[in-house]
Amino acid sequence: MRSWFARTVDESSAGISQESDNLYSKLSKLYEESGVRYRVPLAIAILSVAFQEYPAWTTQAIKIDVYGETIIALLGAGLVLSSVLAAFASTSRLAVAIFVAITVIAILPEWQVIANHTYLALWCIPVAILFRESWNSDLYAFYLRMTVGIVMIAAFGQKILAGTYLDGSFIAYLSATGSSSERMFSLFCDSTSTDPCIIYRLASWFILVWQLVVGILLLVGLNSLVFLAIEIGFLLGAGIYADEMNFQVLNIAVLCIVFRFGMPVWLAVLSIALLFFDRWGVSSLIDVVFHHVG
Amino acid sequence: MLGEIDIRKWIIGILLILHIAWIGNHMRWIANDQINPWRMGGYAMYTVPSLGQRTRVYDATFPDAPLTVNTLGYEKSTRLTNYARTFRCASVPASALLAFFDENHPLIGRNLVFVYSEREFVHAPPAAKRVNKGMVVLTWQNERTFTYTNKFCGREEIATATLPESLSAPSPEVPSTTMPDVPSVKLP
Repeated sequence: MRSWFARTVDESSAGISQESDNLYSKLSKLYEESGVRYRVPLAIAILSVAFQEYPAWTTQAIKIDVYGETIIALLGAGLVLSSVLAAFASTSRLAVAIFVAITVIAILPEWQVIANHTYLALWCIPVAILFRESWNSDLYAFYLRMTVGIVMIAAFGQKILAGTYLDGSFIAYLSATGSSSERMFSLFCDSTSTDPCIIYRLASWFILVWQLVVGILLLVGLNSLVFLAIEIGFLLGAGIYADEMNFQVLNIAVLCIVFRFGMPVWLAVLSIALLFFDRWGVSSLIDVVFHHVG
Repeated sequence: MLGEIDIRKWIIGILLILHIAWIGNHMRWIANDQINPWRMGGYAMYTVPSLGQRTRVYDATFPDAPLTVNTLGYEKSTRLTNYARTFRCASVPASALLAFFDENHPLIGRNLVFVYSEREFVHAPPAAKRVNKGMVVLTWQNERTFTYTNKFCGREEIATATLPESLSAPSPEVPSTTMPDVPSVKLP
């Protein structure tokens, strides 16, 4: 009786597992063959804006006063709808049009205070409307490549002008007062010292070099998947450090268009998971872990 | 078709040039302390701590503690022009002050000082300290008209505004409430 039960469970599990594998392979094949893989980056980019903007809208008294809660909910739903439509060939351009309309209504009026994330998205996403098949356009990929390259070099330039990275003082400041993830380098330095320690300086210099090199390589048109993989790794690392995965997901999505690589299923799933995770935050996870360990 | 492609190329080229120009202007503003480095694209975010801009309103006669005030209408009136004081040196317009009195009727007739503060980065040892970056000194000339002096970034601008007919001065016996956690400020 016991062996029959065990065999039945095993066979049943194996059957379910095989069916799941088959379903996954069928969906993956459909994902690749239908070209969704190449349209999903734009969809993820739009979704990242929804995750960035909608939660902020719901907590801003002025926003609620101007638009009302119902309209805000509809605008948020519109962004999600735009994201979904962007994944399909026949509706991708419509999706961008919806995105542009929502942007004009709800985002542009507050152009002075919108997040850096949204600024980058506004430079990148609406331009897709110029192309019937933006996912197949070399010109759109070129535009995004130049845009991200320019932004990386601008960020490098501003850090040099500020003078807080060459001496490591800003990383030292974050290490002393930032969120749990921003304090990760403080493990290696003496907290009583008033000068930024060598680790803070190295971290600062690394950030400078990384932004400059990536900016230049994008501008000169390096088109290597190894470069893309390394850059995605750096972006995820920066996202963990700054506890801001949402912005990194947007960057990853844009780079997937730049390199005409599309988004494999695992990266799309990871990106969406990171958008949800970002609502909670890396620091919250670290705090929970330390709380339990402590 | 060829013409269409060329138009797209032109648009792309113009957008890239505009973006570079925008970034150049952003750098100029930052270098002159004109804007919040975290705003307008955020190219300079994570170069200094978030400014944490804050506005406090004081009764000029009793400047020991800030008044508890409503600021929704005041902020809404600057939403399209200088939201959250992104432009750090810009004067506060009369429309914002009128919106302020519209939602704070009891303060009509009281001489006020609006103090604007930010967190400023200190290199050694790395820290952020809160400093006053500017103020608006408001003095009533009569029950409907007030003079206000904007003091930002070393400049002073004096102007006068008049309340609309719909706003009137309240009875003089309205006490102000205070926020005990905020230290007093020295007014000029």
